[in-house]
Amino acid sequence: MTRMCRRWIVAPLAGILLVTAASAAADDGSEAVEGTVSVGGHASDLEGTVGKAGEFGLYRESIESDLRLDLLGRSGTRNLELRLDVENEIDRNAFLRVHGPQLDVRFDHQSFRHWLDHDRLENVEFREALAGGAPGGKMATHEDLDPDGVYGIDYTDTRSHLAAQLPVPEGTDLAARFVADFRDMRRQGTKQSLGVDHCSNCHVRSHAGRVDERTRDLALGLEGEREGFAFSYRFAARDFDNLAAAGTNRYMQARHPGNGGSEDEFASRTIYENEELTFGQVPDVEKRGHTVRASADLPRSQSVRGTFSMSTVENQVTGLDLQANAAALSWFAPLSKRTRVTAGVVRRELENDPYDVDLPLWRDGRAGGGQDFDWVRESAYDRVEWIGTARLAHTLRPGQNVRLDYRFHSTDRDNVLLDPDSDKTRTTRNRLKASWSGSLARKARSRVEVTYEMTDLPFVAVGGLCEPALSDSVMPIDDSQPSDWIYYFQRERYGTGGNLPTKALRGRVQFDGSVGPKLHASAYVSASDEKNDDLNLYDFERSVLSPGVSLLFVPTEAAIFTGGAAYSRIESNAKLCATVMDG
Amino acid sequence: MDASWTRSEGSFSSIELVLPEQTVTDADYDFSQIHTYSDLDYTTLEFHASGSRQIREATSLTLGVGVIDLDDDASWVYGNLSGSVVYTRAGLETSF
Repeated sequence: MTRMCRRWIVAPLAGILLVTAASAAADDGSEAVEGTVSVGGHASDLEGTVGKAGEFGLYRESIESDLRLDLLGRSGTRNLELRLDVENEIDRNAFLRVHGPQLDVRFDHQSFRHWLDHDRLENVEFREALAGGAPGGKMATHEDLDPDGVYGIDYTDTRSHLAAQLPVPEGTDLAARFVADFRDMRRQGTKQSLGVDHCSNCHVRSHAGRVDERTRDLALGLEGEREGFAFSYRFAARDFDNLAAAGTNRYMQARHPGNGGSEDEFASRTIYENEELTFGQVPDVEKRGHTVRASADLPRSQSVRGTFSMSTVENQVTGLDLQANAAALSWFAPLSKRTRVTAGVVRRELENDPYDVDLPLWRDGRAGGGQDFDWVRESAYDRVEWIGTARLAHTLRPGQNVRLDYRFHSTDRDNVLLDPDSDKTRTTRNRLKASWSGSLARKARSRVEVTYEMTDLPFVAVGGLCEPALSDSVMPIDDSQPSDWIYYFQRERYGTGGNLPTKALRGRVQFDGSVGPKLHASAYVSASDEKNDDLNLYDFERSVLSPGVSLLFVPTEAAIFTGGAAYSRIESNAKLCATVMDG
Repeated sequence: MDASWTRSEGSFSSIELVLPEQTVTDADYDFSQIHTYSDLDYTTLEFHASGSRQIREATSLTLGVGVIDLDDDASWVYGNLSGSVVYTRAGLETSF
């Protein structure tokens, strides 16, 4: 969307806001305006690190003025609401609404300062010691180029909304609306940016990074309804622009980490070294999408609803596209006075452009080198999903309900291997949930839920773990190499890693009750037991136990006391294969 | 007037590491303390109060005070985040 196009859309919206705000106070018989305005000043006393205690807000020790305004207006059938809260040049809120039978206009603005963390990186500092105490080549180090940096983002979010009734032919029961929404978000400030080098990532360098991002959304839609049928169409556009220059990081000269020599050999294994390059670049992105919805009432109190949407997201730097489309259909029917059923199906498809990764020849010109590792990155996003749901709800007697839910979810990822022994790419999950809710006594309710889930081929990292020791078995590529050279690309990982279950049993019990009119208590406990015994190196297991309680006490009309506690314990396991560098 | 007190803690139990029967040359790794590296322990106290006194018909003096205090008892990679903010506000309010 061009800047000129945006101006032509925003200007009429702003004009409508002004006209309707002025006309709301027109002399039209019954009209009233009331409100409050407060002018004052504030100051803060700060101690220690304020960025977490006052994470959202700009607190200063100097005296600053502020303004608060609340205004309500009425003129005939039109109403006006205006709220302003200005604390300083950053912390501000504004809300304006003008609405009547034919028109609803809203304007909402909020802005505030959000303080960010500064990772000291002090845990990234070690170096191995060889026998005899000499320093070895395995290390991880850091440096902070902005040690006193205090980072924060000024966040601004401005939204406007317009809904206008459209004229329809007389004598029809058709109602039609035009809807427009515009949103402008801005993030400006500084953040911590980390650059990594030392061949891969064994040296971390912290920089102060600039943030200046703008996201603009525009949505235009038509809605229509008549007795028993509703229809809507919506066009949505999003532009994300990064207005800050990317930072730069110095990448070291590649050399042996222990003796500092063999520069040519180590340089032949890296794509870049001994230069300053940009890093952490955030690309501009454009998204365009269309959504169509329809719903209809059917005989015997049944209803059906459908949605279709399609969108394209384009990376403005690389030109890569992500295309998505989704279709959904759902049906609702009461089988009897006490029983109702709903069912639905969703199909989603994602397609992401592949990317050609062009690399220089590995160890070009050196003995045993010259391999071409160019490859095409096929996206893990590419997939087709099917989701089917069904629900049966039955009222046993007033205040006592049971519900049975079934969900089927199939995800077929084109480019993700899920089984080392086959080329299967489809994850299939079946979930069955039974729940009961009801009154235990006059002022006590309870709810019990049990869920069982089975998954075939959950998402895993095939060949993501563990490699065999090769120091005495690797063969040189050709006779020109010494037999004890180790080449990274000859290593083969054989372990499949994952932390998603193939079988899961989950339960939750909740209790809500009142003791007299002044005290209300809630308690719950949820538990789950999960495992995946289809991995080849270990069986993954996870169990979770989470109880909680909350109280609400209202001793008088002027006081409310609340309290609560929550506890969670998670037990799980994993396989750990420590990496060893260069043999 | 409103006040709240919140205590949040998170920690790992010691990790049971089962080593394989056969190891490759020297594998002198010590994992006995890694479960202590990510402990979290925060206590937050917040208090806000405001009041007004009418000085004329439809006009009042307002006064507000607030305290936000955070104690970080298990510093992590971000350093010690303990800090406090005490703010006061005074103003003139008119109704119409």
